[in-house]
Amino acid sequence: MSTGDVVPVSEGLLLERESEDSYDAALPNSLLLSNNKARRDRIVSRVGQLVVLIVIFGSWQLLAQTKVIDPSFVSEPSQFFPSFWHGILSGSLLDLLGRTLFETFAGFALSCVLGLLGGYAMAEFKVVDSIARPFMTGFNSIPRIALAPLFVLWFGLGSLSRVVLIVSLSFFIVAFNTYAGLQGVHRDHLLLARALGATRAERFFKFVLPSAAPAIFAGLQLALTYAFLGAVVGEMLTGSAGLGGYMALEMGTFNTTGFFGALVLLIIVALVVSVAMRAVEHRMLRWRAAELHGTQA
Amino acid sequence: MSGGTVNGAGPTPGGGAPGRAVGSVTGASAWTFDVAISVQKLSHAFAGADGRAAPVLRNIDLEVAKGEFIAIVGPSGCGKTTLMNLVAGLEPVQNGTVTVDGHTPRVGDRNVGYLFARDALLPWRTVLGNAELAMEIGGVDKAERKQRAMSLIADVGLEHSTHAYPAQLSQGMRQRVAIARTLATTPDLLMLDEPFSALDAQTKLLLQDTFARLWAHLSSTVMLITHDLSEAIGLADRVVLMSARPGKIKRVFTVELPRPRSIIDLPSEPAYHRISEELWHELREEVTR
Ligand SMILES: Nc1ncnc2c1ncn2[C@@H]1O[C@H](COP(=O)(O)OP(=O)(O)OP(=O)(O)O)[C@@H](O)[C@H]1O
Ligand SMILES: [Mg+2]
Repeated sequence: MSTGDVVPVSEGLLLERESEDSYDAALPNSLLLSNNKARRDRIVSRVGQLVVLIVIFGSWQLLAQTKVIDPSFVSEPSQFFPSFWHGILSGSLLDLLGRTLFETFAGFALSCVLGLLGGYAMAEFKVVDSIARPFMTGFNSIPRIALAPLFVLWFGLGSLSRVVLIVSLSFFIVAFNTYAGLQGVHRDHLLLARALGATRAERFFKFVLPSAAPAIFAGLQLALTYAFLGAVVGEMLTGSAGLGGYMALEMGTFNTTGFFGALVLLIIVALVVSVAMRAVEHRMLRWRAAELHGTQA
Repeated sequence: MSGGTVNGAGPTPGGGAPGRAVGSVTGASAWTFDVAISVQKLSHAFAGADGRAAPVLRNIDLEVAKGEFIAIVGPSGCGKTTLMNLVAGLEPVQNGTVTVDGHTPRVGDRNVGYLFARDALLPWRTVLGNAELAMEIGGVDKAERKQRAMSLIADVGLEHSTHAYPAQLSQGMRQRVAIARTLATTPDLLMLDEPFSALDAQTKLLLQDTFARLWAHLSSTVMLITHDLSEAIGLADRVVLMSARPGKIKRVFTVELPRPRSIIDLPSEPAYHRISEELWHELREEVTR
């Protein structure tokens, strides 16, 4: 780099500047600098996460191998990672996963449709809200997992009982978030809609719905998490199909290696889904990022 | 009394629409079609904290000619915003009559534009999207909407921020977007409630000038509420001074400064100082009452 003034900028990073009259160049440079800093932060956190993973599985392996902890209870990484990998390659784990994901998304889709409609109806019509609310709150306070055996009795051992369980969990999340979002419109915006002579539909689609979008999206994300949970737990309780059923089965025969192998897949899928949701949210709600992080144009 | 000020509430030819003179109105009966806003014997009360009616406006008579720029000043709480809400149809009339363009005021009238102290920009729309909003609701077609919005955005000096979100703008930039949004539909009547009050002194001057410049190309009637006397004198044809609550019209000043005016150069005009002094003298009595 050229010789010149060295201007210290945040956290010991240095910004070089050729001479006084190229001062204008300092602006793009400082933006570049913050980009570099962001990239550096990202690398640091990735490396840190890797270190944590290595420490966890390393000590797990060590403790199991030296029999400090009985490996028949906790298996060991050198066993269950190959078991996971083999399950992927042979397709057996993927088949199980397919069933679980089918139930998850079927239940989630149903919860979305019902929850969005329910939340909208409650926000739009006071009567609906006042009649439905006590029942909603009451039902929502029941630990739904406890109802799983009942759903099995009513809807059988197949996927339907899991879908119902998921809807019983996720519907409320979507409905309440949608309601809250639709209620949270800024009164200045409603006044503007009125002053501009917006029709009912325009008021809803141009003012109310966009302002509710972040809350609705947060609800959908949480609902999907619960849908996945509902599917796996439902399968475990009936011990029949899907990843959950397989894990329950392996547990029943004390095959902890098989159990942890499936668990690895479960965690990876959950991570992928949440990253995907976050990416979709980021794309759809770009303005939200501008609002939260306040980047100046 | 020195020249440049006149008593009474009758309309005078609007500076923004030279030549569109209106016959002087003395009684309630004789007005012409060139009256944009007519307020007669208007009184208004709100339910006070004790549940009894608390009078806010008392016996307001006011006529505004088409194309006229009228400013309303008065102490805080004297009912200026209430008066505007009544004219806008946002508040139902209790006593007296209000007509806008010969009709009962109707909220959502596409010929009326609003600008408030809070810009009410939609945070999920870009500068362009916000500038297009009023036209979108007014049913202007897409291509024309965009073209008009772009040209107004350039007029208010935001051509480099067309695709920025409101959160990325300064307060003054945000208010400029609101101005673009409001003027885009070329409303016949503009209602401005302290539109520049949230801005710092320099930005305020610049935006007042921008607004005056853009208004000169329109033939809109303007009703401006402000606490800033130089804003009132610099922009308006007449300045209506209201008394402390319950608000009555105390006096109406006619501003006989030539147009086009520059608010920035206003302090060099002797007439400005004369009106300003008199206005302040009377306003002070109300504010300190
Ligand atoms: N919706 C309402 N209900 C009850 N009282 C109200 C209502 N709106 C306004 N008021 C009262 O009416 C009076 C006049 O209010 P208004 O907003 O018209 O004043 P203003 O002249 O615009 O004041 P400012 O200059 O501070 O904006 C105030 O005393 C206020 O408390
Ligand atoms: Mg007010």
